[in-house]
Amino acid sequence: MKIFEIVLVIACALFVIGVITASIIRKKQGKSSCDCGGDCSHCKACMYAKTNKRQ
Amino acid sequence: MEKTLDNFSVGEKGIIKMVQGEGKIKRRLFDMGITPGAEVFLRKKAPLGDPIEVTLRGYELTLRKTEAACVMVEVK
Amino acid sequence: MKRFALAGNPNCGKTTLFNSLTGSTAHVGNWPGVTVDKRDGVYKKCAEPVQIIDLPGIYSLSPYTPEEVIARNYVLDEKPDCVINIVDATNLERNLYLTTQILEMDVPVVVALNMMDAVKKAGDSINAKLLEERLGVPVVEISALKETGLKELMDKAYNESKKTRVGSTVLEASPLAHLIGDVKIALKGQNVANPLFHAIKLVEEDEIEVNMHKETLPMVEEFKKTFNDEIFGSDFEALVADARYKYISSNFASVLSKKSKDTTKMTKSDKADKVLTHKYWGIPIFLVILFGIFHLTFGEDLLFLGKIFSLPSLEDLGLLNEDGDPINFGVRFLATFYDGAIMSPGVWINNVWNDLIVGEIFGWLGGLVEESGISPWAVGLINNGIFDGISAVLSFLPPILVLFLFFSILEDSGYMARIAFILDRMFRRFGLSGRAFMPMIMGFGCSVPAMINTRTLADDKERTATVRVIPFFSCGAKLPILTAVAGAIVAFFGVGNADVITFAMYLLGIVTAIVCVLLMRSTTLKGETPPFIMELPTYHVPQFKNLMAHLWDKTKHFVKKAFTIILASTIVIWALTHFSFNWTFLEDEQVNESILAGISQLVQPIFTPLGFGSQLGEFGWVFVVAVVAGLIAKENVIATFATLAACLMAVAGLNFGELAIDAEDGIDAVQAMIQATGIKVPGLIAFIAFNMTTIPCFAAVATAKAELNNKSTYHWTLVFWLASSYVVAAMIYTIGSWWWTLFIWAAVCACVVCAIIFKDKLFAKRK
Repeated sequence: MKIFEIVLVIACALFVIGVITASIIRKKQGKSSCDCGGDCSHCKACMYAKTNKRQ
Repeated sequence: MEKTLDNFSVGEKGIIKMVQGEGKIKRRLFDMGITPGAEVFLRKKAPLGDPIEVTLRGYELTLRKTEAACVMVEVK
Repeated sequence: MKRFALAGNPNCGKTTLFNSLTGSTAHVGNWPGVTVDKRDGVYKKCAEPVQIIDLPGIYSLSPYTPEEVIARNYVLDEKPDCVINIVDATNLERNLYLTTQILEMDVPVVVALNMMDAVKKAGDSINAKLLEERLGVPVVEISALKETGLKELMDKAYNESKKTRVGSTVLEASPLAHLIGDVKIALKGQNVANPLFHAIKLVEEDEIEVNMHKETLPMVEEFKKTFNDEIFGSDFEALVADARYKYISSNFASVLSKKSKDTTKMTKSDKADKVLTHKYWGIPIFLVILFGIFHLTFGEDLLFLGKIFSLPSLEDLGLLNEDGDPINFGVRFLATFYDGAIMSPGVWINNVWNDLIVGEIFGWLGGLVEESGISPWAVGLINNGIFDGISAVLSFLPPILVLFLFFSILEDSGYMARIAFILDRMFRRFGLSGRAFMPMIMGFGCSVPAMINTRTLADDKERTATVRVIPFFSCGAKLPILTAVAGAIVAFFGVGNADVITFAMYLLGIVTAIVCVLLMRSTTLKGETPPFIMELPTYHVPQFKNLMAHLWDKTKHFVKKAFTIILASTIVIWALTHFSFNWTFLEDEQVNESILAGISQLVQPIFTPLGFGSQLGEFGWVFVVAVVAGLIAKENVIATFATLAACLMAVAGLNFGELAIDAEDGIDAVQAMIQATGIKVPGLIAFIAFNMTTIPCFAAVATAKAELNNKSTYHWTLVFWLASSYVVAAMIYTIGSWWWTLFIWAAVCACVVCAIIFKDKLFAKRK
């Protein structure tokens, strides 16, 4: 295997793991599972409500 | 002449005399400005005759005939 | 940091003000109840940065729906440094009703007179000075939309927040003043914050309040016995509301000077209303508008001009060479909007994006990879695993945006609220109020905000029923499935018409939703039909800025999704199709020995009654994979097709004849599936129907869980989704394949209906 191919496989694997862990972390933090990363107006509103509930 | 709001026909005007009904619905009607003394004007009826749209206190409110039946109005 | 809360009636422009102050792009629409949760942002142009909190709209501080509770609790419990009460100047009386209640709390208040531009335009005027004098708090004229008066408003609010304010009430002058005073003193003795406010609410017998101060209640009852009004008797709720409105009309009427006294005069908005909500034409107009939207988005023959005038195709004009390709770039561009028929704007944008932009870029990238001299498997991973999936998803961006734009226009203009008015009578038949229509129509965009919006519904059972059927209103992400499969049916079998199939599938979703609501409301979710009391907003021309903000939000969402979760899924699917159970690498041709094929073939028989199971032979499992991938995100269905199509095309024996198949194109990918599996039209339609009505994506499921806030209801909701999709798809497949099964289904439906009616009668008798 060439270097490029090894890098490609590792990058793909890392990417998949990254996406999965990122979504798990988001869930753990109580953020929405909507994929906007909390950017859209709906998610912002929702996150705000949840943090307030916990307090 | 007094009659309930659901018996109004389009274009009729009147002064609210009394609001009946129970709990939450009455509360909501009050909050929306349906209180004794207010002037209402039946603007139109939806296709199939229900719900109805009234003008009161300078804005448009829509409600069903069942809710309008709680409102007693003196026809002008 | 200081906190200012924005409070006011629904649809009075709180969110528009919030956006102007904080530079946010929160969703704004012209109907009451767009904002159903508080959100915050920062305003930086004051002496120090200020946190601004946008609250859901409320008509009074005695809440009626869940979202109104949020607003009340915030103002009472979180104690903002200042409440900015936004008052719609075009609708002064009802807006001031809330103001009189806010003033009863011990919190600094500034009144913002919004929509002053509209008042001046109508030739009316408001004496803000006089209003300020009578209210006893600063009043600032603003226009949230045109961003005038904002600086002054914030400076005044900032000044006020440094002071302390003690609540005052307009009921002082009413006969109730004495009673309220007594209760207030009692509450003050108990060290209750905002004693005046709570005292009045206690006298009013507000539900939340009564539960909060149970121990004080007997005392209030004692006080009340001494009081009896001649008109209202002991109906204190009516007394208080009446006193407020009386005070408002006697004290604030002089503030507003109207150009014309006639309340029945026709404005432009009234004229539009007269046509759009006409007694007989209202419903037909609504259907025409809906069809028009779909036609402008998906129609390949605008206004059917091509058919009517039998316009010549490009081939007839001699603009194509022997291979059927355009002779030059100009013709290629022409082909994006004309080929024997003028294409609708939606299709044109779609063609430009796909043929000229996405197609070219990914084609070029793919070529680069192929020529780079890396091993074939690496080429496969990059081109099929990564590029095909992403480009297949991205290619559906235009129809989603165009459709969404039309819905935004409807929402912004104020027509949406009218649809609720027109349809209420029908909705009542199904046991819902016209109000439930809003979240449902939002479902066409995305189920997540739609489910959150069900908070505007006052009745819990109505909410549950609505949340459950929202996924049936095919969302933007399901659109690619519809268009790709419909396109493939037209291209491969040469039957039907793509926009009619798409429109029909949307209708199917709506019909399914209606049937399910009817079923639920007459069995598990029985209850009274909830009341329908709603304000109708004035029509206005949609704001360009606002529309663009909506579209930008949607695009960002979609692109982000394509490059994260969908990319990850396609990589995983590629890997699973290129390795066998003993981890040896497989060529494209050996796809049937892969891990994914092995697992899905186990599940495949389950889908046999739906037309995409065991009867499809050795490659039939691809549909199973697509369905399962769709549970993560619905865009995944087409991305999966694209990735798998690349493998299937490599399998010997696939012969496309004249067809030029390109795995990067969703429609072509589906054609490859059809060729490989031999699936028939009923099976394909059943496949779309199953995807449309089954468990929605992860995000929507999580939202449903949060909104239903009851574990067992949530679990039954999942079961409901699975069951409904299975039944609907099975019905379509069997009837489509063997028409006489129609009678069997009809008989089953009749039995169910009879059983329900019979049970109801039994129940009624027992009662």
